[in-house]
Amino acid sequence: MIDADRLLVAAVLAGNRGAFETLVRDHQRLCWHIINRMVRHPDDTRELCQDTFLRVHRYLHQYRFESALKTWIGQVAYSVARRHLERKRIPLAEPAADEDPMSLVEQVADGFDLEAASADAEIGAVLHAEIEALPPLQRTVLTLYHLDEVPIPEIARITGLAAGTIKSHLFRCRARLRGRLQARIGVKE
Amino acid sequence: MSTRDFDTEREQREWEAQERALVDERAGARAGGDANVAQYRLIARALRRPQLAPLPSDFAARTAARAAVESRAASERVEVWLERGLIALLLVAGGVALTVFNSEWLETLSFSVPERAAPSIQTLVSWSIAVAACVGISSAFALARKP
Repeated sequence: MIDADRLLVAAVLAGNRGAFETLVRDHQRLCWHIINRMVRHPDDTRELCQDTFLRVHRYLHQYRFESALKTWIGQVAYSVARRHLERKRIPLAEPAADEDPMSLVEQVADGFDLEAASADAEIGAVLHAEIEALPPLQRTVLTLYHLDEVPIPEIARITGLAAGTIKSHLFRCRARLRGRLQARIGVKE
Repeated sequence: MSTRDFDTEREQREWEAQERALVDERAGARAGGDANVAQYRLIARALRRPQLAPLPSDFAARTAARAAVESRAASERVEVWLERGLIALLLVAGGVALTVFNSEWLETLSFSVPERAAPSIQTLVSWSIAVAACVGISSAFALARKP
């Protein structure tokens, strides 16, 4: 991957026709996910995502291949989105709660019909609403891990947080979502 | 994540259920009998289909075009600053030359003024010819630079 990164970066720096567009196309999905999960607003997402790639274009000569190009672009996207939230005074993460995530979750021994629950639009809507209600950082970490399949150490590099902190966010958020799901299922029953 | 990561057995089991659900969901595995894992699979499924604003299909092309415009503007800015620096250098050099050669060269430009004219008229005419020459040279350069 690093070899492919080297070739692409060299082509962009040499000003080869279409090279930068290829770079954008290769990494736009990750950039879009990070920024959209952080700021949510579609117009802001488009503007900040473009800003991210313009920065990448401007500072590409400073990229030293210490991490994958994808991770480096992810770092730029995350920092652009974080600054945007700071300017708007939107908190990045909620303060560490004393709440024990395990207190929300009940272990179940009986069967759970995954496909029936998955087909239930109401349950889906509740889960999506709960995901949207998470703070920007947690929402982003979950999306990077589940949708973009970025490993924990790389998420740590992108966000500048310790791997243990990322893991804790993942654990707590998923347990919280499960707690909400169980509450919903309980109401239905 | 095979190593023990959490303080209590219960938290560790919960984490393992979360991770197992993630792996099964990515692989599209059939639902097993573990209800704890199944509930996390439902969450993993929702997380893999988030409510994201769609990425515009022409995003890469538009961004690359904007980067090219920005890059051109930046190099033109450098060119303008170099040009200004050169002009400033020429002005300083001209001033130095004027001081060193004691304005003798100005008198050579007053060839068209009768000798009996007042010295102030002669100086004015000399400067006018010098300024006209400068404007003429600048205009010629500007015309030459036009595509």
